[in-house]
Amino acid sequence: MRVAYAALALALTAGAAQAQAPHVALVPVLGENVGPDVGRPILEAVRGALTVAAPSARFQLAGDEALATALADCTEPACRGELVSQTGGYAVVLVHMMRPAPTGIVELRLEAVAVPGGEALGEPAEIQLPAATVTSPAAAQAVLGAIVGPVASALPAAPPAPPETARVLIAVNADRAEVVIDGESVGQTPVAPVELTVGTHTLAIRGTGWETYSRSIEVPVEGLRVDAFLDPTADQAAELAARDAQASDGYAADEGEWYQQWWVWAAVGGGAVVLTVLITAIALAAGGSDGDQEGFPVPPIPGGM
Amino acid sequence: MRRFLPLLALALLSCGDGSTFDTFTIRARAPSGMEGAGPAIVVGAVDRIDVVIDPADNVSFDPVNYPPFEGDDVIVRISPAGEYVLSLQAAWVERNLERTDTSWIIDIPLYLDGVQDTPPPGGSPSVTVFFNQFGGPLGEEPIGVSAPVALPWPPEAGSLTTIQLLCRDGYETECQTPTP
Repeated sequence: MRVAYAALALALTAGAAQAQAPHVALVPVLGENVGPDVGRPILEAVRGALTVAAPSARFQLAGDEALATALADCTEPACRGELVSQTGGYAVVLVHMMRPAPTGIVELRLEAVAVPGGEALGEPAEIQLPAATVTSPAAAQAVLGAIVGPVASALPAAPPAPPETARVLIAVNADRAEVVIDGESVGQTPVAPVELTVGTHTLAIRGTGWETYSRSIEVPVEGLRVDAFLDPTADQAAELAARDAQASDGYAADEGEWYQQWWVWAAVGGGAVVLTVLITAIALAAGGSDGDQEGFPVPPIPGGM
Repeated sequence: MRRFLPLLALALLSCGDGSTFDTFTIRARAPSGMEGAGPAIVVGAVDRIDVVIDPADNVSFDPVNYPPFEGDDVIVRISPAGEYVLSLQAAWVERNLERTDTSWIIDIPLYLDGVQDTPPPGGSPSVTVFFNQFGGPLGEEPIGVSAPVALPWPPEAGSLTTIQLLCRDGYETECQTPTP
């Protein structure tokens, strides 16, 4: 088991926003003597029966108690339209359930509703589910198969699925460079991850003192990281080189070549003696190790097998 | 004295068994709140930085036993899952950070302590950087995190791998609140 590090990192990158596919929302409206324990298996049975009757549609359970209560109290299309639009479905099937007695049959009514208008689609289907089928979704589905056909056929065709998107992280070696994707600026570096549709996009990065970076990127569904290394412009490169040279050669100024100074050689002789003593002492103290090393160690990765 | 430095370096290099380590650098970069850069992460909100190198394909690093570096500010360990974890305490971060107009940067020097004589069986490992904050409901939790980045392996001497850190969704307040 990899520790939480990996999971967390994956959650960041692979949590790309998958566009939600179009679906028909099934919303339970629980009436008298019907609680969630009874409603849930019936709802599953309704979904199973509708899926058989309309295989091209995708049915998704939706709604909460507040929505169900609000829908039970509202019959006008305008009011219903507002409520069913909250489900995210392109159409809604309201599943009304009530029980005349605490046990026994369940009266079921399926009502297809348009989104966002809230008007009824076709005629509702009604059935009385025998008590024996209430706790058995398979049995209930078999019974429901006889009545869901008109409801399924009244549903509109599913709209085309929105394009899938994925998260793209762009890391650039220059700050305050402008990042342009498909001709639109997304900000200056460092930029937060952007959501792009899966597929091909153009990426351009422009910054003062840097050559423009331009390429095409192919965004897969699991997301993408782009490491963009901008080259300095000629002027910028010359300036950087001059700065480096100034920093490293600052002391070679006006006294002639250093090796022409007599005291250099005197110092070399003396220094050699001191160094010998010093290095011997260090070697002894360190037990023959390599001594100080800048940075922190990373061991090699063991081989396979 | 500066005139002797080249000689001194030459003398030191000519001693010993000739084995030297080549440093490579991981650069962690955090946004400081410029427009378009995502929520800022203030330095004072970060109590510890963890650099995690994960060998691919369920390969594990062998256990190591390095002493702490720079006092107790830098700890190297191998996690139970076989990942290499370098932990940098806030004091080390304060000493080594560099600020730019739009971000702050930490350069973390590393070197391969040994010979990588066979390629890693799983290909290049990935490196992920975490900014942790102490004192949350879980005791400590990451407030900033990077995406995993492939680390060329064995690492090339002098190479620089830049890791962009981001404030985690829902942790914007923690990212901008220095801890006591």
